[in-house]
Amino acid sequence: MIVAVASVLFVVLILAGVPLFVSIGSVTALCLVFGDYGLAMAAQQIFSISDRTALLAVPLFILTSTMMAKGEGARRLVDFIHALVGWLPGGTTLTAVAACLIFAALAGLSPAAIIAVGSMMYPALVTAGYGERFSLGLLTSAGSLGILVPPSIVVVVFGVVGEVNIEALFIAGALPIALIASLFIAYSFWVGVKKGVWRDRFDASAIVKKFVAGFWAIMLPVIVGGGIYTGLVTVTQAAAIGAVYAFVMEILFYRSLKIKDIPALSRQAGVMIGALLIIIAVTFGFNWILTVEGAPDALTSWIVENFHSRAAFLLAVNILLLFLGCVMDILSAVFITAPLLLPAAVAMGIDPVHFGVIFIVNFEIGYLTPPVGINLFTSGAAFRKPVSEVARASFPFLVIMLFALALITYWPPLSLWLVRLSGNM
Amino acid sequence: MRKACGKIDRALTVFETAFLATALFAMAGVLFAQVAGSALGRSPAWAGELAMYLMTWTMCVGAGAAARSGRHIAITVVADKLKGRAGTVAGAAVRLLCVAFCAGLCAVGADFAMMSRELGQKSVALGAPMWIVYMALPVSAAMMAFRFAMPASAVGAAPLKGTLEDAS
Repeated sequence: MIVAVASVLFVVLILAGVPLFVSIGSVTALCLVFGDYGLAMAAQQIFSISDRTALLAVPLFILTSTMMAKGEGARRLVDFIHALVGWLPGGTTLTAVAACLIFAALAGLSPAAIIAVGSMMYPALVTAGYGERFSLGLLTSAGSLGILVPPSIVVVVFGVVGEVNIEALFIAGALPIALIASLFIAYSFWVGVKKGVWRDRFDASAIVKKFVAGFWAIMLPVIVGGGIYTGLVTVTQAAAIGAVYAFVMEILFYRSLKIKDIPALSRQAGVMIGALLIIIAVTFGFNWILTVEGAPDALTSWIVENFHSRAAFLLAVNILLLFLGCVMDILSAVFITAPLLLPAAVAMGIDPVHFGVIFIVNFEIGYLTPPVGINLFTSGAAFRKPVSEVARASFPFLVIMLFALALITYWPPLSLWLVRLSGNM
Repeated sequence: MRKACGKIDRALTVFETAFLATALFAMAGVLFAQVAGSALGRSPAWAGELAMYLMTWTMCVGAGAAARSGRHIAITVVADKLKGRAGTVAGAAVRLLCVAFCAGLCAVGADFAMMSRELGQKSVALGAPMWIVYMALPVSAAMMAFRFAMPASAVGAAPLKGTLEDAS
């Protein structure tokens, strides 16, 4: 009963524009008072955040990406990729997709990637002859891919909130993301051939030159990603190495940041960290109430009773998440729905790691779906185009991603094969 | 009154910035030292604990700083549609709820920290008094209540609004 009343109140608060942590916190406080649990429980649950060591990756990744974006590392990395693959058929689009992946992963968030990569790659794509509409669609869509790649904050948060192995989640995301990226590139290649786009000439000396100029920046994803995928270090350790590495690189090697830039940069990172972690902290209290009151169990038994096949359940989850992805951003959705849906998925015999990948890919698509797909608005603002035009431009990519989502959802080995191979399950 | 508020605001801002810069880089440094240490076979047990406590305080101070610039994540799609008087009233109600919630959180958090102090709770590896960690919550809640009460800034922002502005 308490949970039912609380849910209604919660929806009202959220829609009124009350900050998420206040909405979750107020509802939790009401439940604690009316359920006679006492408010001290709220503080105790909030501080359970200091037992989740995996969360340490969040502030460190945010710090790293802030330094990379303010400094020069990110740009040098893209320059190198462009020199390396720009001469291939469809090479400019290959660069754009790779750059979007790296930036979105670094920022942990998709819109930042569109702006950073878009400003570099949009003119390059149009000059190469891909046309404005195609270029717009490609950049808007590819910007959403990075949230499954290390060091994505979304994956870390899903792992912590849903209590799923984070290393396994990253490894499971590798092939699905490679699949979507390859489909994007194949489609781009086809468009390129059809339009007879202009290609760069192969230039070995440029590759060497950009490699030398960008060497330290190139090594950062190699070290962080390599460390996580090979299992040599944990995600948190990789994040710590990345942060120290980025600091040394930007300040000492590239001299693109000065010590006097550090306070402003730290504040910018700190604001993001605070806004994010405070929600996670109050969510612990909220989930505790939900569990004590038996909400996940009730939902799970309802689902097990009403869905007779795994496929039907997964389809329902796809539809629900696509809908949520249209109206809500991914982090809010992870906080609210992951603890409820995950137990049900496990009860239906779905691997939690596989479910995590499905969950996140659904939201990547949500970024591109009107009315509130945030990438559409970001692109619209960044490239000064109406949102409706961006939505039309992204449509072919949306279809590709839906196709990939179906494969990812109904063919578990695509996600789990590498995880098994790496010994993480 | 307004002058005093401005002074408090500026002092808080300086404190937040100085704290965030120190804590973030200390966190990275301590954890990096731990990784390097474990590679050499000597990994101090207190490093992880110190980093976790730094993160807890960073979360709280960062949340205070986020309240200043209206960067707390909110879903504003519906609220943005309300124009004129309805919009003003709804905005004031949201602000009031935020102030009340943070004031309550401050009281609950302070109680919790004081209780821990009376019990003499100490952390496992460092042996540090736990109430120092727990004080982060009331301090942060008080900072947020103060900022939410100042009409200068927005209460919440659409997700990631900040990143967009910073990046463009």
